[in-house]
Amino acid sequence: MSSKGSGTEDVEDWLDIGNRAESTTSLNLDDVLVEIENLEDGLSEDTYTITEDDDGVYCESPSLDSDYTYHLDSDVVIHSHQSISRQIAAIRVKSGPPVAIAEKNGQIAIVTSKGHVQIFDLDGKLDRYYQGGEEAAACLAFSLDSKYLAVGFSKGTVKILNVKSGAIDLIIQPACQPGLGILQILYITGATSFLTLDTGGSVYELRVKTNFAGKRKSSMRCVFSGCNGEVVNMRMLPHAMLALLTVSKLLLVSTRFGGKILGTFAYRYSFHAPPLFTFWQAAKTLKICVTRGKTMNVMRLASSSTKSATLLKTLELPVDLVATHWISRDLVIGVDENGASWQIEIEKGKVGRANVDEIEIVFATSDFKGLATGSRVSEAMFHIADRVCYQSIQPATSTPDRLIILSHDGLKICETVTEWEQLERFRENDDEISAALYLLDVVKGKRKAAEVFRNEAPNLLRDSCRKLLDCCQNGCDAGKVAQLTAHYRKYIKIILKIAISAKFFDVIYQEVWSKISLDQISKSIFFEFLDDFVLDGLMFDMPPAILREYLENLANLSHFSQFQLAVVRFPIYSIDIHQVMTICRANSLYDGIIYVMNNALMDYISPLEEMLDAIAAFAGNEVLSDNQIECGNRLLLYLNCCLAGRAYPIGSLPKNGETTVPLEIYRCITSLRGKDGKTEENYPYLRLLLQFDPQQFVHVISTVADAKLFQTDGRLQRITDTIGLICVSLRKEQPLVHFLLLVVQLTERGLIAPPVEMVQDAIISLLRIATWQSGLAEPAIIGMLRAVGGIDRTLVLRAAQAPIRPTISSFLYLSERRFLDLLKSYIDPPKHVIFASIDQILQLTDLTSQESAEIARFLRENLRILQRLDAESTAKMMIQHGFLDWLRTSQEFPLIRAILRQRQAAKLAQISGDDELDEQLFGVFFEGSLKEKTIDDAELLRVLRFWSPTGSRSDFCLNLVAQRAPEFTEAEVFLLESRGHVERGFERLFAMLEAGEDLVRWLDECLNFCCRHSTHQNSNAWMIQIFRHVASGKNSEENLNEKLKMLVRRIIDSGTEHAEHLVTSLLDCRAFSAAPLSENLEIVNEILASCEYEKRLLQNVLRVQNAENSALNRELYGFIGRRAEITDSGECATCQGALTKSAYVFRCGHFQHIECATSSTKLCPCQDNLKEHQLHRLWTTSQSTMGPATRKRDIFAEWSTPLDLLPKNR
Amino acid sequence: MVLLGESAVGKSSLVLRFVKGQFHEYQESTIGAAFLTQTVCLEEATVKFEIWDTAGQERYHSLAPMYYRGSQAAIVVYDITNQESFQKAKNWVKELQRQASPNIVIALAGNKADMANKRVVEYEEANAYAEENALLFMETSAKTSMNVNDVFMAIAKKLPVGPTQGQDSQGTVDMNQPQQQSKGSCCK
Repeated sequence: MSSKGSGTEDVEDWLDIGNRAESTTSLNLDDVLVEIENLEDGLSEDTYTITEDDDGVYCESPSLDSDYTYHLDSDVVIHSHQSISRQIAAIRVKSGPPVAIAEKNGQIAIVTSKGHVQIFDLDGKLDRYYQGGEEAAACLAFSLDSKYLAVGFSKGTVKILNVKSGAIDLIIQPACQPGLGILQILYITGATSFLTLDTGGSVYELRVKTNFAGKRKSSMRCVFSGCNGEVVNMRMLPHAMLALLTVSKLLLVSTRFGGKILGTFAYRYSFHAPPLFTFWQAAKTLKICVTRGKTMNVMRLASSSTKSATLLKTLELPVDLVATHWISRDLVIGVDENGASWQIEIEKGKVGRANVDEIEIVFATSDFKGLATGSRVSEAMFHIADRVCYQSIQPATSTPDRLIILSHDGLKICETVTEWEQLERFRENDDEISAALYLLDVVKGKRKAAEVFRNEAPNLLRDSCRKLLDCCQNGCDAGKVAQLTAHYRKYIKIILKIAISAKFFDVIYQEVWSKISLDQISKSIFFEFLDDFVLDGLMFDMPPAILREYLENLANLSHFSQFQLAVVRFPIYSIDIHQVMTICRANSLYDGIIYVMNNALMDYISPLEEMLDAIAAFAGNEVLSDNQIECGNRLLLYLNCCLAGRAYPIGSLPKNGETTVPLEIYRCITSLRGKDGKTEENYPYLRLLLQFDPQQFVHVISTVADAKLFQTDGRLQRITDTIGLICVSLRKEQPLVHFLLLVVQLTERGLIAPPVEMVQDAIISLLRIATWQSGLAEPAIIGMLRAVGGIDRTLVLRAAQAPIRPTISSFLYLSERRFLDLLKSYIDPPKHVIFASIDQILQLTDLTSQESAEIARFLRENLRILQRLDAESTAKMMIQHGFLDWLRTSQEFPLIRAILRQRQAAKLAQISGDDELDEQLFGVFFEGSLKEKTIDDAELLRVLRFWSPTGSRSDFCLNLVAQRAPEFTEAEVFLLESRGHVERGFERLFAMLEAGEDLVRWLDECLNFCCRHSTHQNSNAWMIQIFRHVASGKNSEENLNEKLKMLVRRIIDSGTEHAEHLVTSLLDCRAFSAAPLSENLEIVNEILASCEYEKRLLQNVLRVQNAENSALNRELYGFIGRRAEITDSGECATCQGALTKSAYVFRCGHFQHIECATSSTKLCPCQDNLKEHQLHRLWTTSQSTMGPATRKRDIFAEWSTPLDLLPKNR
Repeated sequence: MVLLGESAVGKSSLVLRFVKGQFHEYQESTIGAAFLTQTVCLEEATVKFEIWDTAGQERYHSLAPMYYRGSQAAIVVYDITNQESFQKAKNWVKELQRQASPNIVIALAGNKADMANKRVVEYEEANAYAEENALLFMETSAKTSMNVNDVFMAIAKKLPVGPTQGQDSQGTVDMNQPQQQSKGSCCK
């Protein structure tokens, strides 16, 4: 609706938003609506996350370690304002229950149901008490300058009180649409202009002016009409923005520019829950939180940006909320209808119930239902009325972290909990551990806190640590040792964690140690928990006395592994060297020895020599113990660290050590005569290392090959040569293999020039070793031959012939393209490995035609040798490489058999592709198989079936099996059938049946034969012949019954095709016809049952067919049918009106007026499906077109209608 | 790069699949360590992986620092059907964090993902652990080659471009910050 300015007032000054709410096409916040729709399409809640860090301290979640967790109480506390609550209670009888509150800068005003107003200060002192008439009040609001208090009444009056004097300043009646009540008053500027909201959902702006005579006057105009969607609540935002919460959407309006709409936001429908609004203002941004029911949307508004609103998060809540308040940067407090408080952490999306008492909220039900004005409210207002408490829950204006709540039992204040209060609560609960962990998180910055508290936290934590120590010492006065141990463990672990994390080393080394060390149990637990911190290198400046005891404790407990790890983590000056060396030497703990020698004496050689001496004792053993391996590995690791210029096992070498230590160690291990110069062999240390574990030693060299030491003076080259020399002299597989691998690696990395002669010697030495233990030798040699040129390949090839090394030989021949030489080397004497080589050669893609021809010629010439060596491999080779044509001249049975087998396995029923040749080859195979007598009748039949018709093209195979009759009867019958001699086939089978051996099998075969040839003219005759034979007197009487039964069953099993003949034959049979029915009842029943079964089967098949096609039949019927279905009733499914207007008729029998149809999909209200509806529409269309032609026409129907001769389009 | 993890979790199979694209149902147990190389081309640079595939057996544990101390990247492998192997993987991660180069790129690989019906280590559990410790995480299967190349590629992308450890680190470029690329040298 539009409104006009009255007389002197400027039109632009008035808010005017009624009409604009209808058309929001050019709004800045439309993006929000789109984003909300996207969210509903299934985007995750985290699609939009809060990215800015506008103020406050980043808060990280506390440690996840379960031993170090604590639970905070709720972030808010609700306490009752005793003074105000008492005063409200005191006037309750006289003034009625309180219904609404207002707060401004510490002043709290409360109005009762009878319209009495009390104004308190924050301490609860009653400043003013206004006792007006008896009219029911609904709301109240302070003016922005706090000088006036406007009270809204349920019958539409607004009274303005002067706060200072307590007198009525002005009564405006009505301050809304006449006959409606006031729901809310909201001052927008100073003390002269405010908005009222009435029970019709309309918003009015009222202005108060003082005329010349000093008389106060008001003017009013409607700025938003409830017919656009009732407004239920109004909120002022910073930057002169006004939020109007209507029943369906939020409108953001600027009050500066005559009520310009800034944006809209539609909530998800939740009719019974009131829409809620709260906001948080940071330095540059304004975040708003809009809640309806269980859905909470958080958005950020920016004043200067093209995209002025961004949806940050959508949260689903577990309950419907009736009030929300953004209490701190990341925390929104919600209240549900039962008065329970909920904490919603916006950033993390966490929602939880606050651990505070429930509040008995005062709801404004009667006002929203408009009970005082005759319930003239909309359905939407009526539905939310039971859960509306806008007037009884108000955020404080002076500070955001306070919410003032009017409850049935007084006034409540909801506030955030301070760090001090939280700490106090832990201590009240005797939970010093949680208090200390909380303080630790504050100190470490994992939990945000006020600056004052943060500054004080280290001292508080120190005190807390001391308190924990007291608890540890005094908490367990009596009980079992186990209980005392558990008690100590609980406290010492926390004390250490806190003191070390906060770096309170003075507390640990002095106060904690002095008390803990008094008790042996607590001392050992202290040391036990110290282990992890020591390993993490967190123990700084530990006094030597404590360290000594700690190490001694580890040694006493035989925790030598931890002992070694601990020693290297303490600075050398705090270690008792004598103690460590004694323990290490006694237990062969080389890590400790190395650490002390390296750091205290700067001696890197002695520990190496010591360890080399140690492994010399067992290096030559075939089997090593785990300890020996560990000792050797430690030596290798030490060697690796020293050569790479790193400290062992952690840390770094002193500055000049990085160049001197590697050199010293290099000289040591490459020394020609060892430590004393007494050894007979050269390079004793290198020899020892290569003997102990050549692979790992080679890895050591490989991993440090990049080091500066090896990159200067050709040291890498020299040590590689030396290793090669030793390996060749050792003549052992492992050293030789790993030497070759080392050379390949280093050559590929471009670090050395390959020592060709040495490598050649190594390869020859390796090839001369009869059997290789590992599979690495061949790849190593081939890798070497690939990587290094200049090796005498003839020499290597010769060495690879005895003992034969096929892979290496192949590699050498192939690399020189000496294909025939390679094949010749395997043909005399023949070696199976030739087939792999043939494959390898023939798979080469770059073979010239001449090479191919030579190879083919060679293979053809040696085909006989190859097939004798391995027919299967030869067959495979011929098939794979297309040499099957050679079979025209070479028709050896084993080769052909192998080819046929492989073809059969590949399910290919062709041999060469030439039918004539295939027949010939199959004949060779068939004859050979019969001669070898390795094949039986069944197998032969299988082969014949697979190779049909190759085997049955001529009588060759038939003649062969006929000569050997009756050994291969089945095969013979198959061939007879294939060759078209069906009657001879039956005769052969019947002869077998007559022979009487294996009656069941041949009966089976005969019946199957009859079934196969059921169309043959003699089929029935054969069947009866079989039956008569079985029922004939040649068989003894006692067996008759059983055989008959069996035969009948066989016939029935093969189908009921011959049932009629069977019954006739049975009746001809005396044994059956003469016998009483009871004897043969079983057979008769079986025959009948079989027939019945087939009959039912047929019926069911028909039924299924009908059912499956019925939908299509109906559809077809729909297209061709000529008759409309009868509607169920004569009423429209929506309005129940008669069929007097245009209507849709649905398949379900209902109809609906076109004007009553709401949905664009035109579905019947009874949920008739669309498809049927469309079908019917199609049907009606077809009916309308074919109607006149198909219906019997009543030519007299329009007899009385006058003729209309005017044109149709007039 | 170094591969670490308990015995029989599939370290060698992962490398074999990555380097040669093969898989052996019965892979021999690794002794000491194996050395393999593979070169991959990324858009930004060419990365040559020198892979030390270590033995998982406890007796070779003491040698592991030899391989990981100089490594720029590590893959810690566990078997999703073996809880103990996951625990062991956590220990390896801890050891790497304590003792390896501070800039080492660590990836956690839950191998044998094809045997999900026998799974005992949940994806969420491992993923949460990886996130806590800032590790790359993927479930892999050397058998079906699921995520095998991806895990190596992910590591390659996280490696700094430029001179390797021990050389002058000036000019090292973080590929995640393309604006720096023009300043640094490249190993292409």
